[in-house]
Amino acid sequence: MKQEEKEFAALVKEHKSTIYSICYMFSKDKDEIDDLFQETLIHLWQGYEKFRNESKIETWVYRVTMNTCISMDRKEKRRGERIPLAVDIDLFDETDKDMHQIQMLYKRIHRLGVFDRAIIMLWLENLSYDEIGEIVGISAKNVSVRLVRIREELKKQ
Amino acid sequence: MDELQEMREQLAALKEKLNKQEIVSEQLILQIVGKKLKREIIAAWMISTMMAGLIIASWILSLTNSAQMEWEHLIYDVAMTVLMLITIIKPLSMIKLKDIRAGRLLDVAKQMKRAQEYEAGRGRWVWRMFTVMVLGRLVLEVVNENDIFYMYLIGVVLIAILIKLIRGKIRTKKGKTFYKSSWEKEIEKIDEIIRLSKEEEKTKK
Repeated sequence: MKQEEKEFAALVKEHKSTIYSICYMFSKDKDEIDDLFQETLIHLWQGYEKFRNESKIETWVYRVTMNTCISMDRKEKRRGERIPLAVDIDLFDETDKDMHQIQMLYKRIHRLGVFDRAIIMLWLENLSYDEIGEIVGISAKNVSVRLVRIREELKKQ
Repeated sequence: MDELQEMREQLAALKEKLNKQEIVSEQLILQIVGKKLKREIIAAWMISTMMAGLIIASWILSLTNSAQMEWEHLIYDVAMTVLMLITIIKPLSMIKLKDIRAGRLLDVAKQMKRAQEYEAGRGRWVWRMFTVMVLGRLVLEVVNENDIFYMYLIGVVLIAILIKLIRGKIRTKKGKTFYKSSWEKEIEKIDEIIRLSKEEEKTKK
C-alpha cells in the first residue's frame, strides 16, 4: 500500500467503532450497516487529501459519517458489490442476551427522526453544542433546543 | 437512572464490543480506493461520451444547414464527418463501460493504455488529415467568397476548443499545465490503477 493509503487505514481503524456505531443507528440490518460503512469510507477517502489542511479530525469524521448516513437513500444502499466487513457479531441478533442493552439503545434512537438521531448520537459521544452544531450545520442554540425536544420524545417512549 | 445517562453507558458498551472487532482490513481499504477510482473513471468516460455526442450532432447539423449542396462539397463533408467520427469515437470505444462498472480495473487500465497508444500513433495521423481537410475547406470558402465562411470558422474553432476541454490538457509555453480535463486525469492514473489491481489480487490470496 502507498503511504497515503496506510495513513488513511490507520485513521479509519482509530475511528472504526464510532463510524460503525453511527451506521448501525441508521440501518435496519447487518447488510445495510456494511453498505453505509463502506459508503462512508469512500466519502472519507474522497475528502482525505483536501482535509489534511483543516483542524479537528474527529469533527471531520463525524461530519462525513453523519452526512453519509443522513443523505443515503435506502434504495441506493444496496448498490454494487458489497465488501463483507470483518465483524463477528450481529447487532440485530435478538437472541443474543449480550446485545440486549445495545438493542435497547438502538430502539430508542431509531424511533427518532433522521436529523434528531444525528444530534443525539453526537451528544452521547460527549461533543459540545458548538461541535454538534458545526457537524450538522445548525447553531449551538438550535442544538440545545432540539436536545430538549429529543429528551421529551425519548421520555414518551 | 436518567435515561440519557443510561444511553451513554449503552453506547460505551457498544463501542467496547466494536473495538474488539477487526472491521477494517487491508483488502477493504484497497477496495475502497478502487471504488473511488472506478467512480471517477465512469464520470470522466460519461462526460467525454456525452460531449463527443454533442460535437458530432452539432457538426452534422451544421452540414445539413449548409447552403452548399454541390456534389464536391457533399463528398468533402461526408469524408470530414467520417474522419471526425473515427477521431472522437474510436479511442472512447476502446474502453468498455461494462468493465469499468464491474470494477475490472486491470482490464480497464489495459484498454486505456491501448486508447492512449492509438491517439499517440494512428490517431495522430487521422487528426492531421482532419486538420488539413478543415483548412482546405476554409481556403475553398474564402476563394469562393462564401458568406458561411465565418460561421464555419467559428464552428470549427469552437469544436476544437471543446475537444481539448473534454479530452486534453492545456499547457503554458514554459511547460506548466494549467488545465487538465477529467479524462486526461484518469489516463494519467493508468499505472495507479494497475498497481491497485495487483495489490487487491494479493490480498485476496
